[in-house]
Amino acid sequence: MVMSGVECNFTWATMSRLMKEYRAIRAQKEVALRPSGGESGAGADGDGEDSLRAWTATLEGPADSPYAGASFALDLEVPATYPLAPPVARFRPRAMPHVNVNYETGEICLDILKGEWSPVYNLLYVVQAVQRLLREPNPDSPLNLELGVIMREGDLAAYRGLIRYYIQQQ
Amino acid sequence: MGYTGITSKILTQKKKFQKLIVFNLLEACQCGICHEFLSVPMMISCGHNYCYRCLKNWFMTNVNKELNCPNCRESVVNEPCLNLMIEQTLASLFEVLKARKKKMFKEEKERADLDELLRERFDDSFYHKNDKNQGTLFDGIFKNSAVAIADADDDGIPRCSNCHWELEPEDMEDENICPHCHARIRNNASSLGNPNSINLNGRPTMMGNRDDYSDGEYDQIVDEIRNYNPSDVDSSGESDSSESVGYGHEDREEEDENKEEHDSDLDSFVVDDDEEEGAGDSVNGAIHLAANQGPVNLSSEEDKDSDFYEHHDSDGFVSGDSLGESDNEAPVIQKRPVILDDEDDDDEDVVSVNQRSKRQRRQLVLSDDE
Repeated sequence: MVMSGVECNFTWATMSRLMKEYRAIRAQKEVALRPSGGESGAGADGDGEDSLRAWTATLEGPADSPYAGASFALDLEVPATYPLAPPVARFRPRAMPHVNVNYETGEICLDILKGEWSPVYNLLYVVQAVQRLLREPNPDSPLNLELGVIMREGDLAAYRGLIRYYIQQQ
Repeated sequence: MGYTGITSKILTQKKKFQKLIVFNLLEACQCGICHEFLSVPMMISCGHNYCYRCLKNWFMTNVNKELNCPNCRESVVNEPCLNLMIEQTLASLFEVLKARKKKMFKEEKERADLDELLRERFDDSFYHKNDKNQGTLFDGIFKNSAVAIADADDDGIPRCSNCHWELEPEDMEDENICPHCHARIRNNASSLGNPNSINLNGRPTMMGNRDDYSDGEYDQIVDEIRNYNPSDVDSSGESDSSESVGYGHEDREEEDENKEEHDSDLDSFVVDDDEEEGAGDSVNGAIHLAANQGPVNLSSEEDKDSDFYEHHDSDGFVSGDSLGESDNEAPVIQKRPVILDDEDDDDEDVVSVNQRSKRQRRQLVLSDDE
């Protein structure tokens, strides 16, 4: 939830782009990406500027991955300089066992969220990229060393088992 | 079936097809950064267009990084230029919208929004003109920065075009800045230094992966590029085809071997005595010029000398300056289309669009929907 009373410093351009994205995202059904404040928080006329600052997406674990059957909340925070700067995307702490996700903090290691960001990307694209990351983990830049080592060793049974174990712990 | 035939065919099609065409054209006029109609559209050499303000802001964020196109990530080596065609198309579109404002926008808020948008576009164009007149387009980034150049005569080592300092890929990881003269490097030096890619200014260029070629083929191509000697090609002939295709290295293999030996002794910074004696007066001048060149002075001398460097490249000296030209563009004379609204005829609005000159004046008849 966004704290109320926080001064909003979105420029007109940022706000206008976010409103366009909001309408486009509402029109499609594939990815569940909504402002964190809920539908009521984001006024249809866009007067609730703060409400477009924080977004939450629900990712379903891909069927052919160890994450099958589970769902994960992905939080997006839009900076004031968006779209020149990328949104900050993170999973909830201690909720996502993944090679490229810091388990304790939920921080995600994904190039397009850092140096490879480009302003032609949008929030939906970020969510889809993270969804792809669930299917295609990258052991070359691990934030979860435990899983990274197991994956590099090629022990797929241990890799799947550990992830299933973490998920069942919740 | 040319322009005239197709245009009249489209104009007689059903509304549905016309709408599709209009929709696609309008979508092409959208800026990928702000998702608005392009306002002062600037085109990068890769062909992608963005608003002047959006692109300037993008270049000014991450000041330590190379400049790239937000869409295709191609390095932006040359200053983007105004895309007059899109500018004029959108200007005439908004003139039509203004003329039909009362009919198209029934609600007060819609009209206020249109006025706001038009005001923004006017501000943007003033902002661009102001920057242009003061010589500070893109905050002067294309005057104050440098380009990494790899020259085959110099073993393909990437160097700063400003001070010729060697750009080590390790130094460029955190910030794309020349470690010697601290100029921002516009392109990616590490991709130039990659042995799998060779990129030379005004010479046959190859960017590619070794895996894309069959065994031996890659090495053969690299050999051809390395042995390419610009003085063998007609120096006055500027045609690209002769430069990129017309080089067979087998004929001059011996000659090239001799030359290579000679070149390996010659560092870009050191002027060999023999070299100086052997070379003509004009070459002497060029070498002295290069030696005397201060660290941050790209724009003043390059105008008259860039051609010279390009044609005398064979002296084994890195002619980086020719990459940085941006100042010799002729001023663009921009004529905005003038729309004359006919008297308020309810059946059709006759709008004459003065696109370029009076000779090309044509009548545009817009039939009313009602």
